Parts: sequence; C-alpha cells; structure tokens
Amino acid sequence: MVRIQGGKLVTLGGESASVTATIECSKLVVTGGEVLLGRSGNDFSSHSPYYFATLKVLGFVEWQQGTYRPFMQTEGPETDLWWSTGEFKVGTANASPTLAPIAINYEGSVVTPPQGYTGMVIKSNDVITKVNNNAPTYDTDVWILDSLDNNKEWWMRGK
Amino acid sequence: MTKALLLLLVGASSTGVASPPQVSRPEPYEPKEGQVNITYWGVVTELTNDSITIQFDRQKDRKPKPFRVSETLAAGKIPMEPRKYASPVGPRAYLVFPDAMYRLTDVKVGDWVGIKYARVRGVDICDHISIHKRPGGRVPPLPEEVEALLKPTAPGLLARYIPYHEMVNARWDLEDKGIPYPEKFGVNRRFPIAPMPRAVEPQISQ
Repeated sequence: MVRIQGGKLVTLGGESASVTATIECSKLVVTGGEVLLGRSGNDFSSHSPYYFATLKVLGFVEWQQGTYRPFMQTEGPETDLWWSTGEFKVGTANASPTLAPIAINYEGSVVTPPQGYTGMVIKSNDVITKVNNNAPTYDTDVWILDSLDNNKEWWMRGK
Repeated sequence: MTKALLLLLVGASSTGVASPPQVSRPEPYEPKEGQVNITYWGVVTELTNDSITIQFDRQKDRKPKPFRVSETLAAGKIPMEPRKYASPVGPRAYLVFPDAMYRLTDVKVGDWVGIKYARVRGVDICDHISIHKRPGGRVPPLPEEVEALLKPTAPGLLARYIPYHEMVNARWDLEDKGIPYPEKFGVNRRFPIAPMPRAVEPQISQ
C-alpha cells in the first residue's frame, strides 16, 4: 500500500507528447497534500496548454483528503486525468477532499470555463464511490461535477 | 510513448474552496461535428453486425439511440487504437482505456455498457465498448491481450491481480445480492453495509 499524507504528488509533463505516469500498488491512499499532474519540472504551478498527463494507478485508490488540481484545456478535449484500475473511493465518513480544476486556453491563460464545456478528471475501471455525500468539495460557482458511465467517470462541466 | 515521471515531495499542503456538491439526472452530451471520445452509456437494446443501439442511462422514458460501429468493431477486431482528431499541434490521439476494448461480438442485448463514440460528418460512430454488467449473467473476460495491459509488473502484485471481469462481477454480486467480495481482494474487499440505526418511537398504549 502507498500512503500520501501531505506535500505534493507531482507528475512531470511532456514537451512534445502527453504522458502517463504509473503507480503499481494494492492501494493508493491519499490523506492530505496536493495531486498535481503534467507540471513543469522547474515550476510545479506551470503546465503545458497542449500536452496533458494521466496518473494511472494499477490498483485501488482512496482519496480521503487533500486537493487534486487537474488542468483542463477548454478549447480542446485534453485534460489531466487520475485513473484507477480498481475502485476509486472519495472522502471519509467525516472528511472531503477538494477538486480544484484549472481551466486554460491554448495560449496557456487561466480562464473561466465556458458554459457547457466538459472534461474528464477521474476515471475508475470499477466504480467511483463517495464515502459521504459531501465529497468532494469544489467551486460550485464555476463547476458542475457529473458522474458518468455508471459512476466510472467524473467530468467537470462549466456552469 | 509512455513516460513515467513521478515525484513525491514532502512539504506544504493546501485546500481549495469548500462547497456542497450537486447531483442531477444525467443527460446525454450533445457533441459538435468532429468530436471524438464522447461518453455514452446505458443498456443495449439492439445489436447488428454494424450497429449498436443503447437506451441512455437505462432511462426508460428515453428512446434508444442507434450508433453505427467503427470498421474495427464491425470486423470483429479489438478496438485498441484511438480515432485521431485535429489540434493546434497537429493530429492527436486520446487514451483508450483497456476496459473499453471489448469486441462487438462480446456484447449481448441487455448488457449495461459504456461506449466512446465520434461524430463524423453527422454520423455517430461507436469506437469503443466497455461491458459494465450483464444482468442475469456474468460480464465476460476482456480479450487476453487487453487484460495484459492492466496487469502490474511487480511479481507480488501480479500474483494477486484480479481480472477486470472478476472485479466488476464482484461489484454486482455485492450490490445486487449482498455477497461480499471474495477473499482474494485482500485490503480492497467490500462488504454489505448495514443500515444505520434508527431512533425507535416509543409506543404509548392506552
């Protein structure tokens, strides 16, 4: 089992292609910290507007607390994606993690997502389970969370 | 093509905006011309050699939607390759998930499926199919070469690897019949959830 209690879980982005980073484990448990995908090695707040990243977990995931900050390309279909090949469990009985998408355009500027824009940010081969109905928290002024495909995909949609 | 770069850094953590979630009845996404990798799901109501018809989200008041299938699916092949799409940096390809690599011949009427489709010159073409549930039956195994894409390389994990169809069948055994996951799921076993205790109203007899 792999446990992340704080700090940053970062995958680096590609310069000429989208990339996938893989963790093999029976279970990845995240109890705090940030999950940042496809970032620049020099500056973890920086992300390519063209090439996105997938964090593939060959195993189950329990995302109990902390913040996941996927970048989303509002002018195309590319997004960062956190993918579990098993069940993807979100929250605990009394805690919720935070989903904080960052919408950008092809110029690399952070933008408000257009109404109706949508992109996938979490995927499970099995099922995405909310441990409590309050999970996750996110900015409901900007986003709607859609659970699609029999609770196997979570998509964020511009409000 | 796959490049694994992973950094674990211990340091600061932060939180974002806290708000209550919203849940609504799913509606099918209306794609634009040329879009690819669009999600659609539901129950299969009809199958032919070159089409699949799906009732969205099993919503009984919704008319089933027919899709033509890709040449790959119509030929009985495994749809491992993505359909290309245009982007500012040239033709691109999306990630095809292994659980969406069933052959058309693996699917049966009545299956709960999720598909990925593309809108090409006004026609919606099904490119990839995932079988989620087979009511009254068992979800079939993925093609062998596809299952291999999901297997870990670490010997200890590989020995405990659970194939996709066993995992989803275990889910439905639990949700439909209350059967706990088999022991081989180890730390990831799931069990029936007992109902929460309720307050008992005192009965006053007169």
